[in-house]
Amino acid sequence: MDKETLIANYFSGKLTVEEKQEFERLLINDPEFKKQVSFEKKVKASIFKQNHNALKSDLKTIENNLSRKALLKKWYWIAASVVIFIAISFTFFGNKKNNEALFAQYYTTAANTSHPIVRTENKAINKELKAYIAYENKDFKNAIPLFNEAYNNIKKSELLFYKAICLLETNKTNEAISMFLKHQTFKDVLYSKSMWYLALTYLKENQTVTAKQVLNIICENPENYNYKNAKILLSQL
Amino acid sequence: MSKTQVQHILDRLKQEDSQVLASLYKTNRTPFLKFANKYNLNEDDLLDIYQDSILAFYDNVRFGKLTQLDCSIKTYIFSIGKFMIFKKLKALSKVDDTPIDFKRLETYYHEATSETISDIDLKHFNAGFKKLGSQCQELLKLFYYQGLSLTDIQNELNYDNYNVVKSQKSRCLKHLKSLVEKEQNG
Repeated sequence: MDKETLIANYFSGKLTVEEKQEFERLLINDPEFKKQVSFEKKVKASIFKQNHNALKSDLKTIENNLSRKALLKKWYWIAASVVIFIAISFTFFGNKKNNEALFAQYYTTAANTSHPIVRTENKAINKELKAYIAYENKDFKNAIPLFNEAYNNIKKSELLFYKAICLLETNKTNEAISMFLKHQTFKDVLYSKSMWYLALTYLKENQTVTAKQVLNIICENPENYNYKNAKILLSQL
Repeated sequence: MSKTQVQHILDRLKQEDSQVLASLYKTNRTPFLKFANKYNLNEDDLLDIYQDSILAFYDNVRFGKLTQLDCSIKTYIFSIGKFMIFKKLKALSKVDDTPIDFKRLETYYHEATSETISDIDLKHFNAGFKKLGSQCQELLKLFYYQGLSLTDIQNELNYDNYNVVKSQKSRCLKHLKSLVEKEQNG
């Protein structure tokens, strides 16, 4: 196969395994070939961007027209919220909120960000997917054994995080704490999120000192999950 | 929405009917933001993702990669959106079987979000592209943007044989290269 066809098939996604190897080899050994591929990549990108940007700016115009209408409505809600906030502040004035109230204020069920669920017909559903479906349906009680099984099968650490959330949701606070701690030993993408939920769980258990320690760790790095909220919560304890 | 209505919308989009595209955008916008709200992303990011999802859907329909739908249009757009959100969150470990052509979507997402070309190059390439003859513009657009293979293009543009398309494409590229170089030096 000549080089030109090789490049054309690369862009059409039609390279066989051997051709792919040949393509990679030429990229390394043949400067002219490399130059041509990089030129054509730019051609592709520029044609894409040109068309994409034009369409996107059409959508942005539609969006701006929609937002302008929504703005008036929004101001109404902002004004109303300010009034309610002031009213609530007066009610609580001088009272330090207790831990239970703080927990309720800050806690929301963690969204499933690990495993997108897209339902299709006639497809075998595995344990992992089942667990996440139960989780998203807020069926935490049944989700726990499913996460257990899924974890035993595939040993994916993120599953432990969601299991801990389920334990917390079903008021098994102490078990939740040890599950969060176990999850954190893996240091996966949910690590700092896990810290935040651990802090809240300690709060719920009235272990204010430990909760503060965890929050302090979160506050060490602005990249951590809920860094800002952790700072505010810390000031309220 | 009945199956005939869905088909009607797909047919209109294939004709590049911008009014249908606009109404699609408006109808699904609030439900999408509501659905996507649970992921820790700000509204600007979500709108950006929503717009890209609508355009990825439009791209699939326009270029004949999607000719009929077994689910609702909303479900389809939401699936694309969910994919893009997970990409954005960089937490995607696995995607299940869905009615979506993920390979194509992956490429689309890559082109739409990554910096494959610098702003200055983009300016020169666009200017050069505009100076090409309309035949070359069409051929390059079919190949690089719509993802047609040279054989597809041969049929689409009624060329006599494969080699004619191949050498025509090669001429167009060379011409474009010299036009871009002129822009870069001028």
